[in-house]
Amino acid sequence: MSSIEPELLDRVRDRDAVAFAQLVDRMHPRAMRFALHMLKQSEDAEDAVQEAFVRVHRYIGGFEPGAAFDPWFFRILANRCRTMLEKRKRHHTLIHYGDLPEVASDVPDPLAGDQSFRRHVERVLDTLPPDQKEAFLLRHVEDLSYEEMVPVTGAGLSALRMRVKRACDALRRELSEVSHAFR
Amino acid sequence: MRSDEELMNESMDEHDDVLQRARAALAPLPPANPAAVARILAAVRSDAGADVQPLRLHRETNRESHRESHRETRGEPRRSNRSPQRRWFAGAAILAAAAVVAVVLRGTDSTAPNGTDSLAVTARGDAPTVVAVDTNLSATGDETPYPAVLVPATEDASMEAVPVFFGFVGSARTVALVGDFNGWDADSMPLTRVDGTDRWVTSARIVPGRHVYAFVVDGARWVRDPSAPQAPDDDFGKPGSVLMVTPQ
Amino acid sequence: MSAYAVGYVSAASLCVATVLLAVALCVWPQSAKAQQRPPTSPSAEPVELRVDLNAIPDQRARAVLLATMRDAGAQGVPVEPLYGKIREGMAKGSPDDRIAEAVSQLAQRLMSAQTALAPARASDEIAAGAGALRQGVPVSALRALRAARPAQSLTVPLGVLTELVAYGVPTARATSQVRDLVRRGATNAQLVELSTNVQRDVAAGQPGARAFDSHAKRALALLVAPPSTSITAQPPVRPF
Repeated sequence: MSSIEPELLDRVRDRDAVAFAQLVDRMHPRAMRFALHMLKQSEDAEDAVQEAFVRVHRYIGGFEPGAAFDPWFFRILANRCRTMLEKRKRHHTLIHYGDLPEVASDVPDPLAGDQSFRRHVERVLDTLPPDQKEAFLLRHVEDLSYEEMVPVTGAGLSALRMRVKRACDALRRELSEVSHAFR
Repeated sequence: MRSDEELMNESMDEHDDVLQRARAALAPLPPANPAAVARILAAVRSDAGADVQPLRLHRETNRESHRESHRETRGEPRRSNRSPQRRWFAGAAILAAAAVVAVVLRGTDSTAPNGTDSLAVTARGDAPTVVAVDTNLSATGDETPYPAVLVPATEDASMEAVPVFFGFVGSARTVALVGDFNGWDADSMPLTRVDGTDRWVTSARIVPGRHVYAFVVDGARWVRDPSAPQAPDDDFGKPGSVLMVTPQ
Repeated sequence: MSAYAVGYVSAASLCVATVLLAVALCVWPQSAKAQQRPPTSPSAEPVELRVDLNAIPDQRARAVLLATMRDAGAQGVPVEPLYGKIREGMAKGSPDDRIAEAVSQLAQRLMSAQTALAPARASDEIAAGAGALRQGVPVSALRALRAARPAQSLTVPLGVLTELVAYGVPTARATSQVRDLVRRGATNAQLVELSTNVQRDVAAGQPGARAFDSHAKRALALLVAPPSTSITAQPPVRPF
């Protein structure tokens, strides 16, 4: 699937700067959503998104006319996010949520509603290996097909299905117990 | 084509209430952020300008980054290890030598503007730059004009009109751009609503120099762009903003 | 071809790649320029700025406007900015007498700007001069800028000067520095960048004068001082 119509992409390929500005305007919220889920820090997410768009501008000439834009774009963005995560590994000691002692009740406050449930979902997502988290987000949040995810991730179809399945299993396992509390 | 197993699994996921709620929790998009968009366009312009300096060889990270980018755009998997240093030196030597040869072959470009390099002029010509960016601009208000984005900017002294991108966020039935560049005609440059959002966009070709502009909302209300300097010279008591258009 | 594709290479392939890359560097600017197509955005240039003065109901105001336009035309003052001002007043729903007064004042400033910027005839340049006068820039500053850039448009420098004064930079200091920048060959893009930088600092709470001093100093440092104060000693410039 592609969220950007071919006419706009043609203009971007032809180096129409106004069209490029429109492309950035259109894709920016989705790009930030993905980067924020992956990186959890708004500054890193903004950096990754900015670098991704710089590369889109630099290499749009190589984008195949008529091809879906989303997989091409998310391939670049996902790579930027992976680079950020690698840098963090090199320069920081990450503290995972799972390593932190629980300071609140194990069962979240039912009155807290959707925001609290969302935080719980994100917390479970952050305990997953990055490749599973990335696959889940691409499939179930960005609505890419498995075929489109292959070039984005560099993984094969069966590996991607397995990653998504494991992510779904983990979410089901971790959320089932608390899901009723948020109703 | 998806396999039967995949379809079955996905069908199960579709009916899994917990997963559906998790998806719904992760789906909301962050609010539109015109200032961030403007910063990206500025970075793109900067990259397009820097990208054409043929002797910029001292930053290994840049070249690594470029190499990775080519893989990304070709669909090749990323490499986790850095390339051997001697590979970089070979590439650097070739590029440096090529740059020297290129300078000799090109000689003096008589078409280049005063003291500028036509290579840089051409490469920067298609890259957006930004004027009047307010980094504190919030897009969550009721009405938030985007920063006006000037595209493109070059060192050329030409005084030809330059395309400028305008955006506006807010609930409205109509939004129009008015300014000294269109005779303050609210019918000549209407903004187009981005489908399914309250964002409005348009572009216009404007001659270089200082201009005053505003947005007319629903045919009656004049709104200035808070991210641009306020126009101090209004004779008629309506709000306006200043746009400095850089020549192409 | 891509320089990034080069990996472990022999001496022969290194030479071939060098020549190919050099050719690419030579050819690329032209090919890139050829790929550029006309922008698709609407143009502001064809906008018809003329107005029907019969749309001004107030007879006295209409008479003032007619006389102003006639005088301006007779003195060779560009009338497009005057029509623009009328349209602006009408679009903003301003009373007719207020429109007439604003147009009359603009005509005076256009005449002064045209004299100071002579031999300029371009409407936008003279209008930019009138805008600077409106902001409190003295006529002598316009003459100084014309002397510093005798054969190129001053539309952008005048706009920048207007904005700098609006940001609170003392007029004399802004005029002096902008004139020096222009004399040293500052491009219009560099001048706009200066204005943008000052505006950003002022918006962040810094006094205009201080913001201007630091950015102007930096901008001047990037430019070579003119070899002589004589205008004729400057390199030839393209006519506008």
